[in-house]
Amino acid sequence: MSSSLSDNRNGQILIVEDDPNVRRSLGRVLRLAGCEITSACSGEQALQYLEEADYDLVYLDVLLPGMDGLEVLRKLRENSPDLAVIFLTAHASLHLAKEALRLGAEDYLTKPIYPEVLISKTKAFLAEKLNLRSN
Amino acid sequence: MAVNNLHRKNQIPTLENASAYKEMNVLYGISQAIVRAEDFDDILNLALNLLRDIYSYYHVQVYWAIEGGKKLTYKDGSGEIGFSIKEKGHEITLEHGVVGYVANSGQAFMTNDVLNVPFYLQNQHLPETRAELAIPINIRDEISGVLDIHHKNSNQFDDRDLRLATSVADQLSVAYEREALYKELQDALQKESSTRAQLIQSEKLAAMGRLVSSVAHELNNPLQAIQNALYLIRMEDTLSDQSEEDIQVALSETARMAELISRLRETYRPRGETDFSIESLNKIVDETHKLLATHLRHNNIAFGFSPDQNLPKIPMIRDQIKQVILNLALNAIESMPSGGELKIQTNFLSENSNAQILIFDSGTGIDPELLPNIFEPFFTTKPKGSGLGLAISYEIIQRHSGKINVKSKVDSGTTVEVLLPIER
Repeated sequence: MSSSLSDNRNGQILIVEDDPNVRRSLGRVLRLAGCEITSACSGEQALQYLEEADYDLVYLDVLLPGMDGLEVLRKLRENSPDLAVIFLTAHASLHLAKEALRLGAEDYLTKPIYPEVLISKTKAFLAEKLNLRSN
Repeated sequence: MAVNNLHRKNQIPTLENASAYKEMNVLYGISQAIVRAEDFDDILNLALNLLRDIYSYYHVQVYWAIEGGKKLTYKDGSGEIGFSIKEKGHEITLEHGVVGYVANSGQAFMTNDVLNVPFYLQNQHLPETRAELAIPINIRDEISGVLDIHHKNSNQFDDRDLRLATSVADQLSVAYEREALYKELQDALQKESSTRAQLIQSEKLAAMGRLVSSVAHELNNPLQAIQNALYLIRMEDTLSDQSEEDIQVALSETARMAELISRLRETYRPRGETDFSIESLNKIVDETHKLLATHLRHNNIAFGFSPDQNLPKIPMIRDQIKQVILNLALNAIESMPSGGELKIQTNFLSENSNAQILIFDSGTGIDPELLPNIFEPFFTTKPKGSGLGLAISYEIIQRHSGKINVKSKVDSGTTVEVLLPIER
């Protein structure tokens, strides 16, 4: 079940984001950083992708059409208890952030976040994960 | 009118009728004053003079209970004598003379020869008194005062005087109570209206909070897309130095917008009782000064702080009040581009239980025509201002049930006063 970084990849990332401009540009930014990117525009689609492939990290929006980000996290925890999920949302809410962390999210980032900052966070996170795996 | 009609009905003026007519005249005059809802002090003055004039009394006066009824003070009296005693002020104890006796016993007292009264004390202003009649004025079952009538001649008072004086005392009691009730009603109405204003204010804040929150969401997504797009362009190899610079400007401007949105969100975030803590205003001013010290030096501005050491700590949302003081101080500094003086002062205003912060500057001042607009959101005279500094400060002070006032004179400076209640 667990994804592996050991096969010499820079990381498989799933972006779940309904705003098409954010989704596309975010994908390109992270691709530029050397990651492989899959994008989903809804929670339902994201869960389907997660069944079909392994990912190292999921960037998850909170406000989504249909199932919201927290629901997506709860659902995906059923099959992927260890999957790394970082929330990336325009909705800064302490209450939601707490709930997200309680459900085991790695972080709760608010938009807008400078692309450089996002890249360095992503790299640092993946490097740490890689390190854990190789140990 | 009614009195005249009455007089005409009684065609034959007997002694009894003449006396009844006088009595009616006094009581009617007093009732009219009460009906016209004059101030109690006016009603009292009118009643005392009316009594004296119609009955040719020597003097008519009222003493009023003070210190929980332990003492009496001269409230008012007829004519010049009354005026002059009132001006000087006169306090007596319950052991003092006829008035003290009546206040103590709660019983009316009438003598037709004061020299026969062992506890009679002559008032130096009333050397000619020979007869005295004193009636307690009861308000809500307590002796609140004494109506005291003096006559220059002995053997002049009879039952009619006693009856009349009792009626007048009753009327004064009603007038006083009515005024007290009226004041209570006014206070209650005032309180109700300020509670209502506060409710409206908090409703408004909540609505604003919801609006800001959803606007923030709607703006942050596009800002993220813009930042991403600019970043992607910057990563292109073919970019000229100028384009690189332009993109940097665009990027930092999006950051500024994001900062503004987050500041707005923070201001309008719903707050509860738990966000309030008891803090020292003086300490917050000190902290603000530390933040601004370099800025002040660079701008050639002398800073002075006069804290009121007796200022109690007050309930507040600390970071918000600090933001207000910082905003106001920054505005003051910006109004002094070629240097000047910034003075901050705190005071404890015990009379209305407020903490007062005064912020003086010797800057350019505010155009009187613009003064009414300065708290409006997005109103600014600064080329790079957001127009939110004062609007946010205003909202914060409102949230603290406080007040913010600005006085300004062009080319001489501005004073901002912030009042914060000592208790929530």
